Amino acid sequence: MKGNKLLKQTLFYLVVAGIILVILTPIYFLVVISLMSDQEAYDWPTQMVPSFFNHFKLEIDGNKYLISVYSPSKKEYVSIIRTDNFDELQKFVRNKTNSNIKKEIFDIQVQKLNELYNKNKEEIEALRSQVNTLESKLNRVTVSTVKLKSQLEKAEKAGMENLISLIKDNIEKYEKEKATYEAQLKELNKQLEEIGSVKFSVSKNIFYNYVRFFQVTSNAWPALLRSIQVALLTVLISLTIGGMAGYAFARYYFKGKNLLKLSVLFVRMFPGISIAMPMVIILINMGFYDKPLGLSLVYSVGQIGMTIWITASIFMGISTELEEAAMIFGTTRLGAFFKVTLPLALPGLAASAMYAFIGSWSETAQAIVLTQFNPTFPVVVYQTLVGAKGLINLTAAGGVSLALPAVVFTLIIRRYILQMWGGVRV
Amino acid sequence: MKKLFIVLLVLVSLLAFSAQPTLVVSSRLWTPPTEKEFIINEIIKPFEEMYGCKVVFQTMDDETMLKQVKVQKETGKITTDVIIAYATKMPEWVKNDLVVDLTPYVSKWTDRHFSKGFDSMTVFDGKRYFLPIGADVYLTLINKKALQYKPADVDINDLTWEQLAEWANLVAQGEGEGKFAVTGVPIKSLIYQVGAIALSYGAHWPDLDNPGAVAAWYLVYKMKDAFSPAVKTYDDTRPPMKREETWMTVAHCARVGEVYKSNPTQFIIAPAPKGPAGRGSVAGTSGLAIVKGTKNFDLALKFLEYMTRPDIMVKSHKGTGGFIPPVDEAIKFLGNDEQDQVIKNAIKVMNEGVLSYIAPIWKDWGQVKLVYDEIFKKMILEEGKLDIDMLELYQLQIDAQRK
Amino acid sequence: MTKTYSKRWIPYILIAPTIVYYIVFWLRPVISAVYYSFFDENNNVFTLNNYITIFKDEYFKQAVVNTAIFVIISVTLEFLVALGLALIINKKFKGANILLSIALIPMALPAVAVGAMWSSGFATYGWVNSLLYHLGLITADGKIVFLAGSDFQSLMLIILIDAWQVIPFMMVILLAGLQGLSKESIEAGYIFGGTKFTVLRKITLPMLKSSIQTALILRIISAIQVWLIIVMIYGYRRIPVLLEEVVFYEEQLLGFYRVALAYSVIVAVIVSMVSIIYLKVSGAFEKEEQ
Repeated sequence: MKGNKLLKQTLFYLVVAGIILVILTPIYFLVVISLMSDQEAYDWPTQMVPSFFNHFKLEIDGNKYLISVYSPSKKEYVSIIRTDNFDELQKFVRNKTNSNIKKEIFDIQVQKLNELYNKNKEEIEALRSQVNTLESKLNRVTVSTVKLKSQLEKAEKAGMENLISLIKDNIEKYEKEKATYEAQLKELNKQLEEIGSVKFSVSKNIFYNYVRFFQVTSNAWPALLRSIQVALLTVLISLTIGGMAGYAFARYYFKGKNLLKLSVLFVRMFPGISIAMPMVIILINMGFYDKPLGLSLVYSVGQIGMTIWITASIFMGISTELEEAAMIFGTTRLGAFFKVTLPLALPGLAASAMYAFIGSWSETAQAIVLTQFNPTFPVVVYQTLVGAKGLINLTAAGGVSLALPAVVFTLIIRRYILQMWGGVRV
Repeated sequence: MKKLFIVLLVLVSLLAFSAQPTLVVSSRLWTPPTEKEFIINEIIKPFEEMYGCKVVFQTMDDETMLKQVKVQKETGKITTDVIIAYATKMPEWVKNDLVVDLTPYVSKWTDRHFSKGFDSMTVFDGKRYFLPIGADVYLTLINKKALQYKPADVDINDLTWEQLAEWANLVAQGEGEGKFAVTGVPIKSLIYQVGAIALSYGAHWPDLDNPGAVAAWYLVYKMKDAFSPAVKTYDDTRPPMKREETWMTVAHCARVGEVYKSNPTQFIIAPAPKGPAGRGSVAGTSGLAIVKGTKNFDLALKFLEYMTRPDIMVKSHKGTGGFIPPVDEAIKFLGNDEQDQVIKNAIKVMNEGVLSYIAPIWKDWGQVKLVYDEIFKKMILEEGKLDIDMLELYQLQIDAQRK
Repeated sequence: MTKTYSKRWIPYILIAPTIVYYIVFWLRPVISAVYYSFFDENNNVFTLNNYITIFKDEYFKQAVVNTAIFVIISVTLEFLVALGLALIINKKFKGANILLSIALIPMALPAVAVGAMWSSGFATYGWVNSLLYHLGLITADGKIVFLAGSDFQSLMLIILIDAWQVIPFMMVILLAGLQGLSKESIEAGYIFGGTKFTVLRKITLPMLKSSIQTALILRIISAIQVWLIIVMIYGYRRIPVLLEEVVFYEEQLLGFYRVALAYSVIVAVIVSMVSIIYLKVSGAFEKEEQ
C-alpha cells in the first residue's frame, strides 16, 4: 500500500517535471542562443550550453595569417578568416566569435608561429602539396562514386541485372579507395597541425550580443522609459474607465447589462488588424501624434473589455455589507467606496493593471505608425531586428531583452492572477 | 548684472530650442545592424556637419514604411521626409501620390547619370520619382563543403546552369539530401532565381510561353531532388546557408554577400551561372524619394543630391553589403579598382550579363510572383512532373496582371 | 443585493465612459470598414465585387477549412491540457507555486521572441534536432525535417506551437475557477464512494462550468483569428487561414484594401456566428436571463 503511494507520488512528480521541461526547453534554448557567438549559433548540433572560451588555431598560409576557431559541435577547428591586417582580424574575430584578441597576445602567438614555421618550412610546404593532391584525388573518387550511385538507381529501376553487379563492384572499389584517401588526409592534416600551427585560448564575452544589441539600437534607453510610461498610462485609462463599468456590473442591475457584458466579446470579434489603422488615424486627427498618451488610448481599447470583466469579478468578491456598514457610520457612498472597497480590491486591481501592462508592452504595428521622434522600446527593437535575419543570436538577444520586463511583471502578479479571474463569468 | 544674466539665459534657451532642422529618413536598405551603423557614422554624419542639420535614419520593411507614410498623408502630419523603397513597391508609392516628381531638379545634376536600365522601375510616365540606389543582381554562393562533389571540368567562375544543376544533383546524391537553396516561401525571390536561369536561356522573362522559360523550368525540374527538403519554408537564403543546411544558392547579391562576409574562408562567391544566351540575371534596385508634403523639402533634396554623388555612392556601397551603385560614374570607378569580392562579381554580372528589369507593366507584381511560387510548389516539389501545357495555362494568369 | 441602492442613474453614469470610448475608438472604425467594404476602391461606387472576389478566390474555401480544423483541434487540445495542468497545480503539492510561475512565462513572451525561438528550433539544423541528437534519439544523418511535411502536418505543427503559448491563459482561468470551488461538495463526492474520475466528471466539472465557458469562448474567438505564428513560420499562402488572408490582401497585394475590409467583415460574421452558437448551446444565455 505504502509502496503504491510512493509510486504514485513519483509518477506525479515525473509528470510535473515533464510539463516544466516542455515549457522551459524552448525558452532555455532562446536564452542559450542569445549567449552564443555567430559561429556557435549556426553550428550543428547546437550545444546545450554556450561556451565561455574560444580556442583558436593560427597558421601561416601564403603571406597571410589564417585563423581558425574550435567548434565543439564539429569537434574540429573551423577556419574563419585569412588576412595580414591585425585590425581586420581582430574586428572579424570579435564579431564572429565574441572574443576580443588582444594585440599583445596575438603578437606573442605570431612570434611563436614564425619560429615554428621557419623551422619546419620545407616540411610544411611538402605536406601542403601532398594534401592538395590527395584532396583532388579524393574529389575525383567522390564524384565517380556518386555518379555510379545514381547510375545504379537507374539500372535498378530498369532491372538490368548484369549492370547492377558491375556497378556495385565499382562502387565498392571506389569507396575503399575513398576511405584510404580520407585516412591519409586525416593523418597529414594532423601532422600539419602539429608542425605548422599554434593554438591559444581567449575568453568569450558571454553578453556580447546584448552589448552589441544596445549599441546598435539607437535611443534604447529613452524608448524603454517611454514604453513604461505608455504602459502605465494604458493601465490608468483602462482601470479608470473599465473599473467604473466593472463596479456597475458588480453592484447594480441595469437595462442592457447582459448585452454590454457580451460587448467585451463583440469587440474581439472584428479582426483588430483591420481597424488598427483607422483607429490610429482618429487619434492623430485628435492631436495625439507622436505622444505616449495617444498610444495608450489605442491600447486601452483592447484592454478595457478585459478590465471590466476582471474588475467586476473582483468587486463581486467584496461583500456589500462592508460598504453598508461604513455608510451606517456616516460616510457617503463615495466615501465608503474609497475607504472600504477600494483598499480591499487593490491587489486584484493591481494585478489586472499589470495584465493590461503586459498586453500593451510589446505591440509594434500601431506604435510604429503613431510615433516618429518618440518611439517605444518595441519599435526600436523592431528597427534593429528587421535587418538581423542572418543573425539569429542578435535576434535572440533582442527578443529576450524585450521579453524580460513582461516576464518579470507576470511573475510579480502571479499571486493575484487567480483572484483576478476567480469570479469572471461570460 | 542680473538682467544680463537673464538675457543670456533666454538666449541660450532660445538657441537650444531653435534646434537645427531634422530630416527623417526611412529606409528598407542597409537594415543589417553593421550596415546601418556604417551609413549613420560614415555617410550621414558628414552630411549633418555640412548642412548643420540632424538626420534620423530609421530602418524598416517596405510594408511598414508604406503604411506609416499613408497614415501621415491621410492625417496631414507628414514627418517622414525621405524614403528608400524597393523597386517592386515603387508603383504603390506613386499610385497613392505619396512621393514628389523629381524630374525638374535631377535634370540639373550633370555630374551623374543614373544607369538607364533602372529607369523602367524608377520613372513613371516620363517622370522620375525615385533615384536608384543600392542595385542588385544575382550571384552564386557555394559552401566549400560542396567542392568534394564538384566535377573536375567545372570552373566556378565560369559556371553554366547545366553544370551547376549536375553538381547540385551530385551533392544531393552523395549527401542523401538536397543542398540547394531557393526561397520557397511565396512572394519572395523565387521569380528572380528562376528568372536568372530563364534569361540565361534567352527567355522573355517573366513570360512562361517561350522556349527559354520552358528550358529554365526543365532545368529546375531536373534539379528537383537537389533542393533542400525544407526548401518551401525558406523565406530568405541566409539562415539555411549559414546553418550549412544548404551549400549552394544563386541569390540576391546583398544576401549572398552577407553570408560570404560572415566567413570568407568557408564560402566561394561567383557571378550567376551562364546559359546559351549568356549570364542571365534580374536586376532590381531600391530608390530614394521625397515624401510629398514634407516641410523640409530643400534639405531633403540636398540629402538626395548628396547620397547620389558618385563619390558618396562608391563610399556607401563599398562599406555595406555588396549592392551596386546604379550611377554610371560610380560603376566605372568601382569596376576598375575593387578589392571587395561581392561587388566585383556583382559588377561583372551587371556589365556582361543578360539583364532584365521589373517592367512597370504589371497591375500587381506580387501576383505574378505567386504564379512562379505555385508552379514551383505544384510541379517541382509535389508532383515532380513538368507539364508544359500547364505552363501555358499559368501564362494566362500572368497575362491577367498586365495593365 | 442590487436592490439596496435606489439611485437608478448611477450605473449608467458608471458605464457611460466605456460606451463613449467604444463608440469613438471602436464602433466608428468598424462602421466605416463595413461601409467601405461595399464600395469600389477606384471609383467609390457601390459594389459587391469585393465580396465576390473573395468567394471566387480558391484560397477562401481552403482558408475556411484550415481555420475550422485549427479551431476544433487546437481548442480541444488546449482545453484538455489546460484543465489537466490546472487540476495538477490545484493539488497544492510542494512546488505548485513554482509550476504556476513557470507555466505563466509563455504568456508573456512577445512575438519577436517566439518567432526567433521556433524558427531556430524547427529548422532542420535547428535546436530541436540538436536536442534529439544530444539525447541520442536521432543520428546526425537522421535529422527530422519538421517543416517539409504535408499541409495537414504543417497545420498540426502550428497547432502545437500555438498551444505552447496559449495554454497558460486558459489554465489561469480554469485554475481560478477550481480554487473558488467549495471543498465540501468534492469531499462529499468521495465520501459517497465516487472514484477520482466520477467526482471530476459529476461534481468538479459541472461546478466549473462558468469558468470553462469563459475560457472556451475567449479562446474560440482568438483561435478563429490566428495568423501571425503561421506567417512567421510558413509565410503567406502556404497554409491559408482566414485572418492570414485578410493580412495578405491588405499588405501583400496592391489595390486590395477594400477586399481586405470585406474579408474582415466575413471573418467577423463567422466569429459572431460561432460565438452565438456556442453561447446558446453551452447555455450561457439562459443564465443571463435569470
